[in-house]
Amino acid sequence: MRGMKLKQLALALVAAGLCGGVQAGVSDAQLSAEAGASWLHSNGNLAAHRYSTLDQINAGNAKKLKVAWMMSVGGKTDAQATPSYHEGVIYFPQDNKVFALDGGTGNILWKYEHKLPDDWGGYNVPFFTGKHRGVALAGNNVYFLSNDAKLHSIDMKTGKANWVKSYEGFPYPKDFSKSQDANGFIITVGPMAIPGGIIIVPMNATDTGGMQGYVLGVDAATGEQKWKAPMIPTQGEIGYDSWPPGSQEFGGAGPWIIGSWDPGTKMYYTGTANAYEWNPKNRGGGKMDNLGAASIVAVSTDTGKVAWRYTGVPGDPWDFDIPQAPMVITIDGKKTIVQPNKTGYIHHLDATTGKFIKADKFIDKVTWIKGYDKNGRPIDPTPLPPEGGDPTEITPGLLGGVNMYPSAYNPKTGNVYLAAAESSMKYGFEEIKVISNVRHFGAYQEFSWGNETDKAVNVKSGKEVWRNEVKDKPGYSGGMLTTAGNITVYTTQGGGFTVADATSGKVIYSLNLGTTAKAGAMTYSHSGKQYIVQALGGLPGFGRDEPWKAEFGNMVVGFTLE
Amino acid sequence: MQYKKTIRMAVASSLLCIGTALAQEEIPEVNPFSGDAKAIRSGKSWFRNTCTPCHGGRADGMGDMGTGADLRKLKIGFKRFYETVKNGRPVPGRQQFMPSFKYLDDKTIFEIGAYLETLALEEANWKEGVTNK
Repeated sequence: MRGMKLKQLALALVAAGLCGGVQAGVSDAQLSAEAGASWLHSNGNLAAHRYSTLDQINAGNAKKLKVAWMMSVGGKTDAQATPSYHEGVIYFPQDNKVFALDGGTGNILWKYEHKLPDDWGGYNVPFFTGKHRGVALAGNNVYFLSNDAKLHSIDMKTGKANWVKSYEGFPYPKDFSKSQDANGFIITVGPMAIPGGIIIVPMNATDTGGMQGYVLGVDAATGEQKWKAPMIPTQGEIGYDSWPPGSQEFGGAGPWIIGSWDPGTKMYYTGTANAYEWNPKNRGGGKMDNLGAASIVAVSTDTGKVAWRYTGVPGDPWDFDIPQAPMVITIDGKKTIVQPNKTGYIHHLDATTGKFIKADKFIDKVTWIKGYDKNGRPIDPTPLPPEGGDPTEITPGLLGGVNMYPSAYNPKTGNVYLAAAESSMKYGFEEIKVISNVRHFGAYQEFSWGNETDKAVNVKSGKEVWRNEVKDKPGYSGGMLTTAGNITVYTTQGGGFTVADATSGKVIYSLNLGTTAKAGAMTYSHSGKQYIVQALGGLPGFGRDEPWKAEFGNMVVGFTLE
Repeated sequence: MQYKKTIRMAVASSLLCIGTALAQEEIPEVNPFSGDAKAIRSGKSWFRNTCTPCHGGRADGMGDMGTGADLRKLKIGFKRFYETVKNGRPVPGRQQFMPSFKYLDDKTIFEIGAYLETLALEEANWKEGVTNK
């Protein structure tokens, strides 16, 4: 065992050395550790728990929090990234830029900027442009994915690029009027660094025309692609025949949220987007499974082969992708994938085999199915509306029981914390229009909103432990952070920064930050003091900002104790 | 008389010149497809593919990609509706705004407008060439 540790340490030092620079940088051992002094992964640790071992700020003293600093990075759209932190510096992506901020003052140390191409454009592209969900840290480098599917290796100290790579087969989306084929990948998901010198690069094009999704494994030192894993099964794989021949090409299923990794299975776990087009008529009419879309996919990071796929929404007719980071949690001695998702259920799967264990309903009302059977198949799904006919009403709406706003898991309380909401929708199908070779949705929805409901669910029993409902305010909080100090931190979509007792849900501290949160908070220790940082930016809601009475804003805020 | 002639010209142009914007002086003040059942159905289909992500299925601004205008209350008149679809509506300081849909031909834009007219609330204005820019 000791020999093994020494070997791992040696490998880590070699990896750090390969990345250049004089600092020790982020080692494999640090990448594998729980979040504590550093916050290296967007979701805290490799298992995506968003849990910190820090307890200087705790349920007993959090009422004494104060704003330590504020910094605007001039964001022009939603701030969706959880910042990362290492050795005194916060790294934060926004609008195809990366900012390095001083961990004690928030002051900008350097700014890295990437310019998008002149013919940038396409279906729904203004919605996605400028959004990012995080960066990766490894060695002495910050890894950043720009919207146009380029991976940037940036020197942590100088903010200068070591290299910028694009990958064959992953074009960016183009202005309809400037291209005969405007399809392309628009990357809002961040990369992830895993031990062994690999950067995970998710590629998503789902709602810009449906080019199928992949996960790439890339050499951290050079940026060279080591492997490419398809989210949709290829010929010879299980589930290939769950798609009509040829429909896979624009079948969507992009990985659009940063996933998780387990050192035991050596698998990268990711949720995937909906099947495309939204109107399912070209992919089996909702009667074929379309495996790989609206799925959890496990990729062996040694080989790049897909180990297993599980679809939570077979044939996905409702835009019910299941995108959240699959958390790896050991329950009753079994390594388990735990993923809350749009469906209104928390799915539990065997992390090694992908075998379905259970699905716990976490919102009050679900009508699109009556539950999941013992094999993880939906029971009695709602019939689909006819194309061109009246829409069908289901609960939840397509934004889901939870959406992209990250969940957290606290091993001390045994709870998962969810940025949940109640909602429903009417959903209908139309003829699918094609412009510049871009297939449009062929579907539409009429939303009915319910309240933002932040809650804790015991991971083992599936029972709700507490909820904090935001009355008459639709939408989702920005996401969850939880710590060894028995606190859970979230900011409501209207900007209500909230520290709650992780066990009881009692609100200990709150402050109106005055604009919307669409990212989860993070925490770190700097010069002996624990800080909690929340990025803010954008407008509340998805077109339903009036109830919040909030305007567009952008800010990164650091809190610490008085 | 001149008004009717302009409408006839607009209809003829829109049907013949697919993909080409009408010259500024040829944009009709009112939608030549108003009340045309076939055009309204076609416009509904286009609207549900190209517009609902931001404007929502009810055209009330509640799309899943959000923050679109409530088109049931549109007060800018048909001509400015046409211009907005063609040219987009950039919002200074924002990445997210209404992009140009200049690749849609005039007939399609007229059809979408004809459909939206059927959803108009009392305060909306489609029938006059309002110029309150």
